[in-house]
Amino acid sequence: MSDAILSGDRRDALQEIANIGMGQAGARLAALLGRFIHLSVPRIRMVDTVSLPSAVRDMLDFTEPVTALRQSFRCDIAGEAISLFDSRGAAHMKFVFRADESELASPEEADEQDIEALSDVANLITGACLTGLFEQIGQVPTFTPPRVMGAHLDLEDILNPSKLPWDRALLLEVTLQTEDGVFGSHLLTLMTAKAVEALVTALDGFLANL
Amino acid sequence: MGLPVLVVDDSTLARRLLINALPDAWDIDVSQASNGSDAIAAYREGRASIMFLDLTMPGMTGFDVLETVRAEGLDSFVIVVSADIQPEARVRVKALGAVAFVEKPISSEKLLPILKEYGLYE
Repeated sequence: MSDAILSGDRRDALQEIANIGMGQAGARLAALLGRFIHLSVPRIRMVDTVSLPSAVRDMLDFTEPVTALRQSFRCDIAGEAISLFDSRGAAHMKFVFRADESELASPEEADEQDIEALSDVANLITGACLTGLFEQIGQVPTFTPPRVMGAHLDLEDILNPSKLPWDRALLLEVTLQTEDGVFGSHLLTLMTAKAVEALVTALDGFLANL
Repeated sequence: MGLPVLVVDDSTLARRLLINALPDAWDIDVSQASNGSDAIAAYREGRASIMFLDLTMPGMTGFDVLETVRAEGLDSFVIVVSADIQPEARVRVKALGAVAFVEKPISSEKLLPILKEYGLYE
């Protein structure tokens, strides 16, 4: 899959419809957290499986371990959405979702509850963002529930090429972060060659109808 | 010479959609800027009696542009056109002097009532 397939108008259009999806996710997250959310400019690039961790590290400047959850989505265009949270984000979600720490019986239980809280927020962000995005090009995606890819691990371990069943994909990245920095989440949307072909068809139809 | 209107958005598509949504019969002279710095330059050159301003842009954001324009006397009707639909974003841009906020995706149905409300287009 060549980089040229998403050049010029198509890339610009994808970035703009991603911006609209991200805005909807930002509003949902702002309502959940009661905080103002900074939205990033969506980033798009073609990546090979082996270079995905370094590409994501370059984009996001990650230094600490992350927790990642993964969901598949499907409409005419199918792909994977990976939500990344750093440890601060995980801790903050625990605080938002669970009022009483004293109920905890063990660290294992605490980890389980962290994951539950992060699953809820990953589902909220992914669902709002990708539904908002695909709606612009006449698509209604469905989603699988979030599954944990790894907790408190290095990016290289989370995005291990052996766990990713493709060679090359389109990567679309958006970042949602509270203004005070206590919570941040990165959404990586990955689409393989077949999905990109369907995406290009949909984008071309959208652009032709303007 | 029509009314100077400036359309600020990093996306070519978004600028095109906005310009398409403007009334055909409106006597305006449209300029475009794809980033905040160019928007400020165009504003200083008097090309922004009305400014349609995106918020989420690389480098200088729409919030930054509004702050600068306000510091320089706010000689423009600024209408924010953004996908950032948090209620707080709306509150902030109004506090910075924007007269209105339009949610993306833009349409003439969303835009016309605002232009009429402020007497910018009859």
